[in-house]
Amino acid sequence: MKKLFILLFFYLIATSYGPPNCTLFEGDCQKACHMAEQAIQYGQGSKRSQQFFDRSIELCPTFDYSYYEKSVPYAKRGDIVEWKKLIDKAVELEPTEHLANRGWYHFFFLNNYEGAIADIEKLDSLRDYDIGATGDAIYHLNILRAICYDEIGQLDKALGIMESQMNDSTHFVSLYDYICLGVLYLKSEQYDKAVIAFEKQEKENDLAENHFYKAKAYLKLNRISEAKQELKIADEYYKRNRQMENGYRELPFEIYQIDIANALAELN
Amino acid sequence: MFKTLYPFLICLLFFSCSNPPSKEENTKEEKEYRRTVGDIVFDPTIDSSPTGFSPCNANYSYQYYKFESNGIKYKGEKPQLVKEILDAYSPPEENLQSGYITIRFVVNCKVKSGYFRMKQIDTDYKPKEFSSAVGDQLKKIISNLRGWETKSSSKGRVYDYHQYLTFKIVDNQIKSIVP
Repeated sequence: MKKLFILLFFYLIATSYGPPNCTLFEGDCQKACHMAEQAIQYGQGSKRSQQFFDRSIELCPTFDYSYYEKSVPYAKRGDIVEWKKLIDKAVELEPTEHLANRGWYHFFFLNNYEGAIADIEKLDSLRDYDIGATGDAIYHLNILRAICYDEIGQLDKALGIMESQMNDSTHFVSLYDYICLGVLYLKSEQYDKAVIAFEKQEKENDLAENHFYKAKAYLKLNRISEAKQELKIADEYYKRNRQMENGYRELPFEIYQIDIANALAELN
Repeated sequence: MFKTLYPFLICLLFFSCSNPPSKEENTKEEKEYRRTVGDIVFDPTIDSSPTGFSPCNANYSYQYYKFESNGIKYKGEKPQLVKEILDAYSPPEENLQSGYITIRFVVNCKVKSGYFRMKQIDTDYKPKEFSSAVGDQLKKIISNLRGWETKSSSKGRVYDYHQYLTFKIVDNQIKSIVP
């Protein structure tokens, strides 16, 4: 399963950064597409790359890919005003292509949960097939939507979306899905279901987090010795850097050393 | 498996920034850009503080996310960073405002921070000016943080890096901090 995920990850990285097939365009828009191909040969956000995107847009002002790709480094580097101008233009031109990215970034760079939900749901209303995953393939957009609903205090709705997605036979289980599911069960006081979800996470991608939250569930079930054991595993894993990670930001339900230390201290 | 490939991906990110192709076209007048989006360069009108911050290498500085580590590298990890900020921040009780404040800066190879820049936007991401009791207070708090840690390449070479913190502000209260 994990090997498949890695292949999907590389596929998405490769396809999300590349422009569309330029032979599908004609005239200046085909030239604009080739200009975008030049742009991505330079480092993302570099002067030359941005200049090539400018020329691409100048040649074909309806070539949405160049607005989108030019916008990305602004979001990654904290210039949200500039990112928004460009991504809005991309969404205006091709909503089904770029709503997913704008929604994901609302969440990812701003913790704007309402903005993320609105874009994902708008995309869902426009597509009659699967809405897909975030650009880094970490979350299916319905799982991201569930996380956002939980963040704005709508736990029941979040859990409903999460269960529905996880029960979908076409769902591709990703790196942290069962941690998300388990934590939502934990929050809704369904501790037995939470334990089962963390056990599934253990089989998919065994991390400090699933053991940490499993300990929390065991505590609620008054299974104290098992809780202690799980926390010890979480502690060991964390010290070996076996935890949720992302180079850009903290992920939902990510834990830290102090969380484990505090939980252990409470038990001793 | 994923962790095994992660260093490889990081290397790709590094090299993707340093090896531009030689073929270039210069047919149109070009917009003014810095070396790369988000580069912070010395500005004598605002960077002449008594702290005397200077980058270790004025020509090479990477974005915080181009290293094999999580977004924040701070002593005590992100919870400690958040604690220090929240302990220091006093939300004004009047003139309640909401939106986002992003403070960008450079952490040098000696883990000193400087070149602080602030961007402020409303909840629709349009530029706005928070009262100085919010914006300037936050900027001062961030400039006083002392727990930043080095970031290094997979070969162990330490680089200066650009870091930012975005504050989600609701009615002058800090609701969350990204990354």
